[in-house]
Amino acid sequence: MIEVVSEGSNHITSGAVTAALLIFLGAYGVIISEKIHRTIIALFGGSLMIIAGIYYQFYDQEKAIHAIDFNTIGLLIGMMIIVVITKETGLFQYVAIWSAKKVNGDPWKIMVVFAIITAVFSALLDNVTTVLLMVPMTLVICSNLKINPMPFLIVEILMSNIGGTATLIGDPPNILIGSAAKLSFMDFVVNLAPIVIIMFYPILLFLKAKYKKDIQTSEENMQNIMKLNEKESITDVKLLKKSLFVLAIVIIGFFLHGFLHMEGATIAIFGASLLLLLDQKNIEKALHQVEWTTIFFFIGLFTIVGGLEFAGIIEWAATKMLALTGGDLTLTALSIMWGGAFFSAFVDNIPFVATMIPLVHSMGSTFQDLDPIWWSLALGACLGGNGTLVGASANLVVAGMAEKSGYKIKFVDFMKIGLVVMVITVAFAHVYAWIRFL
Amino acid sequence: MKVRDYMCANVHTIAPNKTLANAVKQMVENKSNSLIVINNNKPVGLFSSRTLIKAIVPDYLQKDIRSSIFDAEGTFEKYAREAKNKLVSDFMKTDFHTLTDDDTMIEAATYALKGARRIIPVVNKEKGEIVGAITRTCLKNALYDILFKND
Repeated sequence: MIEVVSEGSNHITSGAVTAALLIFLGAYGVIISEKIHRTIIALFGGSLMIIAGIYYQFYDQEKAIHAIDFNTIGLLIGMMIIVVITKETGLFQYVAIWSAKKVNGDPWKIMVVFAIITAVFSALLDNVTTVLLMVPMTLVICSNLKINPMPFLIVEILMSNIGGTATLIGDPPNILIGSAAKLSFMDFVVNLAPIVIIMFYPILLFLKAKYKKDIQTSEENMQNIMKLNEKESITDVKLLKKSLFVLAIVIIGFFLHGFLHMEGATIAIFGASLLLLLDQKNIEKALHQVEWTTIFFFIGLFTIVGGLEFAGIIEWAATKMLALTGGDLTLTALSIMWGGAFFSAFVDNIPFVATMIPLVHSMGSTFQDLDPIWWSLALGACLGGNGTLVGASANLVVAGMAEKSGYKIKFVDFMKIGLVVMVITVAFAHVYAWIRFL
Repeated sequence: MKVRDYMCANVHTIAPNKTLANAVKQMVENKSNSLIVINNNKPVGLFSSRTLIKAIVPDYLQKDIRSSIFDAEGTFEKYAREAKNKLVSDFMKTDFHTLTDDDTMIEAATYALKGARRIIPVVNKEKGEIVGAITRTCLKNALYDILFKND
């Protein structure tokens, strides 16, 4: 070992700080502008950070590898593989048609059950997958009912973000937070799911007042729904059984992973490999359909934020923030919640949370229990996604698919509802966090 | 053997600013499944019956084929009517290979195989203007000539 220099933070020069900050802000700026694909920028910024780190002796490849949270990466890949195989079985279409028939094809009741389905699926799968499955079924159902699907699409966007808030695997910020703060799936369910369930009711009242009159239809059109046969969507019963079996194991595994001392990635990769073992012909297709651009975005981002951390910038920012809040836990947590919500409403919440994580960690010397801050960060970042159409990837996916099918969701029209829902939900989260954690 | 010896000189073309309705009419009338989109006599896109169908089937059904089982009656008609006035230029395929009349037949055959293209525009080497097209039929005819005529 020749390497004896650059150990600890005492070697950090002003050049190091400037370089790290410039790379971070530059990458962030381009990611926000959406001029270049975010994954390209994250990888490019990450490699620049390592090169600058070597030159200014604050960062290198070894440190970058340690900065990458492989638990998050493994969890994402494992869940993506399970979802890629399961979505081919027709399970989701079956559930959608079945539930629409259960409520006798009544449009308002369909809106409520679809809201619940979207929220539950978003809590257990990622939001983008959920809306990719829900939107086509919604458009098909509305086409049968001869009503405008727009209110349904907006409700599904809102519910995917709200539902995703409830669990560790529901939304990328939660995966990041859970992994970094060593919070288990059960911790998320116990601490976040209750408020998500509570806030569902006021949101439902708001939506009822807003939309119920717009989605009236005739008895005859409702009969169209009753004529659909949900069983037609299931083409491969064997694969469906295998998928349900593995999904059940994975969900039970998540509930127990804290108790079993297993990280989330272990459960997800175990489930994914078990499903591949049961369904061997799909290996190439399953791995091909994993969203590698998202995975590499995370890798690049971790590398960039790692550099920022080693350059001492994160610690400095944490100190500044604590000075602003006077080291008061309640004020710090709630500022992070509201700040995070408004920030996440306009920009990608993943880089925001990835940057906030080491920042919160370095507040550990001031606060004995960081959990209130972690929950506030999760609530703010996830619920903030509802603020505007660009607040979360799922929003853009719905808007994109709707537009190409002839229904344009306008940015301002969505914001009028999204921002209201965001403020209502964050206000509920505020009161909840204040009573429960602070 | 060069491309010019076997290409079909009689190609069906359309301008990019025509509508999908124009394209359907033309395809039905001259019983063809593909059109070469040309601008100033130069090929700028390909338009096939598949392109036409892709323009009709809404995005949500393309993303989730299974949900099409449940869509309402009259959906095909609805989207067909909506597509009527859309422009050929918005749907034509623009990533295509062009052959020159001086290229070899093996080059034509190789490109016909790649991406399963129905039709490859052929331009003259000097000006890049359309002079014909290579289809699978042209290649089949070339094959026939080699096997049965040239011995």
